[in-house]
Amino acid sequence: MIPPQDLLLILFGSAIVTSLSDIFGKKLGVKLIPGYIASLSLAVTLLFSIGLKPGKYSPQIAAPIPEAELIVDGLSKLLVQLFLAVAASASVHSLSYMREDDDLGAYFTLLLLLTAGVAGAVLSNDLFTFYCFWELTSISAYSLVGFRWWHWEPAEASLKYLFIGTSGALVTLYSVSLVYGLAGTTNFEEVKLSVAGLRGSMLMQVISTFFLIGLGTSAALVPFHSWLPDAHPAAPSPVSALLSGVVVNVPLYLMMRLYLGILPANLNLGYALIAMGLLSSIFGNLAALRQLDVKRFLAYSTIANVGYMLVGLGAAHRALSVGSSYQAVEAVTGMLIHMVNHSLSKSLLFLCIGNAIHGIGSRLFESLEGYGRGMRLTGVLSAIGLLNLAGIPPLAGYWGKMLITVGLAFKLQDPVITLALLLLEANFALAAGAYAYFIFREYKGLKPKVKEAPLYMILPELALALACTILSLNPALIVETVRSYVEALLGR
Amino acid sequence: MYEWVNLLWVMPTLCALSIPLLSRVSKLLRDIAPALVCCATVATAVLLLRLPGRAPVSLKFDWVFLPGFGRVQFGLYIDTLSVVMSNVVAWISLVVFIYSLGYMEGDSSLDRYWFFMLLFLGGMELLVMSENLIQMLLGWEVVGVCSFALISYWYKDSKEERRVRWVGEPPEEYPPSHCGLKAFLVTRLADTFIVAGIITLSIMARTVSFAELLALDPGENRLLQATLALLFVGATGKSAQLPFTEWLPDAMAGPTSASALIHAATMVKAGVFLTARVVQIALAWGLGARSPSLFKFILWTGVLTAFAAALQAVVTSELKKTLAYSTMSQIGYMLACLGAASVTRELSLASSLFHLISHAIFKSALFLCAGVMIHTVGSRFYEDLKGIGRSMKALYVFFAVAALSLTGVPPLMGFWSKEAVLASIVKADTLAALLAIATAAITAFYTVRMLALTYGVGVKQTSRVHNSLKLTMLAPCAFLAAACLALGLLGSTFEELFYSAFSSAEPGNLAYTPFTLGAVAAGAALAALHYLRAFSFPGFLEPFRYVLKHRLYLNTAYYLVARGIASMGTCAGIFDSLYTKALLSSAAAANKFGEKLKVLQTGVLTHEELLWVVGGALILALLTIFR
Amino acid sequence: MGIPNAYTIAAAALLAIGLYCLASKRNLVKLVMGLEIVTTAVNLSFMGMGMRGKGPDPLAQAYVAINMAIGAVLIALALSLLAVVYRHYGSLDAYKVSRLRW
Repeated sequence: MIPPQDLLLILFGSAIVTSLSDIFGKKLGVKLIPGYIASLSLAVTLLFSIGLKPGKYSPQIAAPIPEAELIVDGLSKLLVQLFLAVAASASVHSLSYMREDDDLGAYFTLLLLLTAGVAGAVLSNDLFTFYCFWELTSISAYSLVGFRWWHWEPAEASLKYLFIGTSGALVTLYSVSLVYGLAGTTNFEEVKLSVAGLRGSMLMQVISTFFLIGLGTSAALVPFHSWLPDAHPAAPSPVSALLSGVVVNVPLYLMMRLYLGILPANLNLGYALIAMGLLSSIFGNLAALRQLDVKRFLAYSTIANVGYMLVGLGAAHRALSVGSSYQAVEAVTGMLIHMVNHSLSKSLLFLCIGNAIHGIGSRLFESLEGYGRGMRLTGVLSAIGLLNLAGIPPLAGYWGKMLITVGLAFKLQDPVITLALLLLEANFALAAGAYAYFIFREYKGLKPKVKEAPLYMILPELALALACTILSLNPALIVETVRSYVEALLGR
Repeated sequence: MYEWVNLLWVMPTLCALSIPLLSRVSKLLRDIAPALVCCATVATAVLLLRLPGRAPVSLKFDWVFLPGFGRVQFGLYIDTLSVVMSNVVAWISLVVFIYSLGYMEGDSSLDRYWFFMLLFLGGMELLVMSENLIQMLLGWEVVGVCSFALISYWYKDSKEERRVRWVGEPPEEYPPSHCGLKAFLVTRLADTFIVAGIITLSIMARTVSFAELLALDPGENRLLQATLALLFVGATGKSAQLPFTEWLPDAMAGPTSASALIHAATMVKAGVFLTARVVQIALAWGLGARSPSLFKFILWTGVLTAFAAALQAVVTSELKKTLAYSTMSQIGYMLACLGAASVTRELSLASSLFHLISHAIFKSALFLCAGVMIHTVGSRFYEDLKGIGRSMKALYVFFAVAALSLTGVPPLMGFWSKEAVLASIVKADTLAALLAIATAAITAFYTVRMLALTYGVGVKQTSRVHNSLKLTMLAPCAFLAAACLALGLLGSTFEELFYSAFSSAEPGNLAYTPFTLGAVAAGAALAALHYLRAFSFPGFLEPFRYVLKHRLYLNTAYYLVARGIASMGTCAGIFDSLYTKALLSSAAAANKFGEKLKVLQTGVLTHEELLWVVGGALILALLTIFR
Repeated sequence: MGIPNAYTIAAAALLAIGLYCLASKRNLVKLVMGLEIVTTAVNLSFMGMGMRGKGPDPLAQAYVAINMAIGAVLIALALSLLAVVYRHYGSLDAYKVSRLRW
């Protein structure tokens, strides 16, 4: 049984080792030594994370953050494992993808630091702890996006990401300071007790809104999304996979914890969340249709999917505010399942597209058209990812969307909700069409002269596709477990 | 403990899915693998025979919990009926797969063939082992799709192959693609009844699981009994009983191995299986004594179909069509026997299954031999097949043995099973029994006709040189014919063993044998007189012949209705074009809107921050004003 | 001291000023300054919230110290990115550094 600080310690320690190993690597002429160390340590951490012991931890030594508290319960353990798995896949993929780059010690160190930040953020039980780990993640992310800074595109994208991301993080921190002012502490449980009576007050609204703005920036919600469509194409494909699969989900997780456990429920806030979610999904789906760059298409699709998750969250918040906790459980379960599915499928997609881009050398649709014919296995794996995202039953992606709809669809006398429901379903249909179009283009046209990708690229994709398939064959595996965690969270 | 039984359907399905991969590795592997998988399936099925005890075993696996609906489960229901059916399916599949190795050799799209044959096996096993109606419906649909795909296997409708691959004579000549579609649509029409039955049942009885339905007590609920009738009507579609008969004769456009497996031995028996389950449930609900109308319905549907189909078999000009009508007729016997269950209870169930096994063996033997004949001659018409019997003596012997089993000549197996069936029917309704015996006579007539025409009485010996037949084609025919003979010689012992598996069932006596044998002899004699001694029938029978040739005008009726619906479809077509226009313009609008939205990303950092700030301020304002 | 004291109101005002600066200035260096202003606003807000009677809450002091460290890293990263961008584009005008659009 392992306490979470050990997990973080492994990650931090291996980050140091990786950066130092770069020197040895250069002396020996084997560039990829940092990569091997990073991938190995991520795999080891993933294995260890299975043995995380549930409970609350106050690591006074491992973290200089005062009153830091980490919590391991069903949900955080599940998400940590998920994110570690995606990170490990990206790391193994990078072994082939980044073969021609220099400075790989820096790359893999940043990768490890990003993962450490994400793990710590998800495990934290305290707002400021979250902020610290989140900043670690963000800084690593900014650097990774701008990794190939000798080219103009990553430089500009990284700059914009830094500005908008930091604005968001700072607004979040401002909100944390307001909470601190109210409660005298930033610990989740103590805050919950302190703010319980402040339902509907002006200050509470301001706090909730600032959290929404701040975390929404990091999660790429419209209108705070501007950094995402630039950052994804500019980053190397494994980093894009991490961005979409991991980095964007962490603020959503915090939003879920805040809006469902800690901050009091407010009907108007629920509406606002649903509206913003719908706005994001409509915008994402529509803008994706006109993209010429494959990774930009996937970036807009991420925005749309985050929109669905926010709709689920809003539906849960609304359900709580009118006192119906059954729908809240369904909606949040749907949101989390969608998060898991999206994380797995989107990273799978980004990695597969990385194969194609690496082989063909261009990111445009018209150059990549028909890559499924040349790289058969990659084509099949990306089709699996796309179908999963499209949410076609009985694949796993369907369950998340269905449960979100179930959570939204009650007390339909409310015209806002009926309209929201219709728009949501229309969005699902539109997205499914867009992904089908993608699959079509994958196989259309003449076979480009490209061989199948090397083993290091295929292996992690196979693992992710296997995970998707297992979830599709036995959805009870994830639906039931997540539902039980959510019920524990909501105290039913 | 019985989870391994799932292998019965999992193995063939997995093999089906890996056929494309196997065919890339080696064509030989792709051809051998189905036979191997089938052996494994047979082994599993045989293991099932040794299961101890007679109490049915019901296994359930949870799949997922849907809010508001409950648990969706699937599972297995292992009782005598499902064990017998799964064995029949597995054994006949093995024989047919081996036959296919020789029959389909050299065909260019064997991937497709094997895929659908294996998928069919998996679906059929799933169907017979399923624990609830919804799972059974899944298997039902899978076999329906495979049947469609295999009937229209030679979908290119090439005119050169018309004498072998098409069905019928002008003006009712149909190409394979049309036949496949027809089969699919007619069975689909019947499927709506099954779905209606399942929906009603799930609403009223709150369960669709067989085990739970058997334990249910319906009281005086008439509607619940009506759902069983709905299920039966759906079953008639798959078994090609009235009024859904018209697809089976045209289904002969498919490869003969598919016809043997699907349209003679297994898929059409799925309807019998469902009816057997319905009868089991009806008996458990005590409907036999209280309101036997359901049973009468089943009985009369079966008997009338048997009679009408046998009559139509008399006037066919194609070999496979005779066999198709014969199949319909024999299945009519099975259903009639099931309908007699109100009087004879488990005995009729056992007798019907007995005839099912026997029919599966001799009918597939007939089809396989017919396939060899047609394949060699290159035509499906009797006029071209004349004399083939003389040239292929060994094959003709197997053919004749199976044909005599069909007629019900002792000591072959068909005799025992027909006696059992007739004994049950007689106890239920005398008029129906008379019709059944008349049908036996007609069966004898058309069988002798078939034998005479293929032997080519009065045709001079043509010097046709036939290449030595492949062993893979000949051996299955021999095996099945031998089985008819062997099981027939062991007749009564086999019967005892079989009936002991059904509780409280004793084999029927042979009291009515003289009647049946007399009828058979009469029919055979009449046919012999006509075909061997050129005795011609009186002229007043000519209009009957005409009507029968036109398939009792049932086929024409179907096409009339279809054309009527199609003309209604042109009205719908207007709506459809409007809808498509609307869809396309909304898609174009979405595209244009997307184009406009792109402008939002000006790329200037300041503008992005401005958007950010304005958006945030807006949300803040809205949320603080509306608290 | 309650929540709306002089420090916290000043912090709110600084936040507004910082965000206004981010949303309206053309020069990238000015935008970095805007970030700095927002950082300062947040730090001030923490300190303001942490004014309890005798003196500041040590927890708030710790938070602010850590945040300053994080802010420093951010600024370093931002400025180095600015240097790289200048090398590519030859200008620090936000309107010119906008090849990535739509």
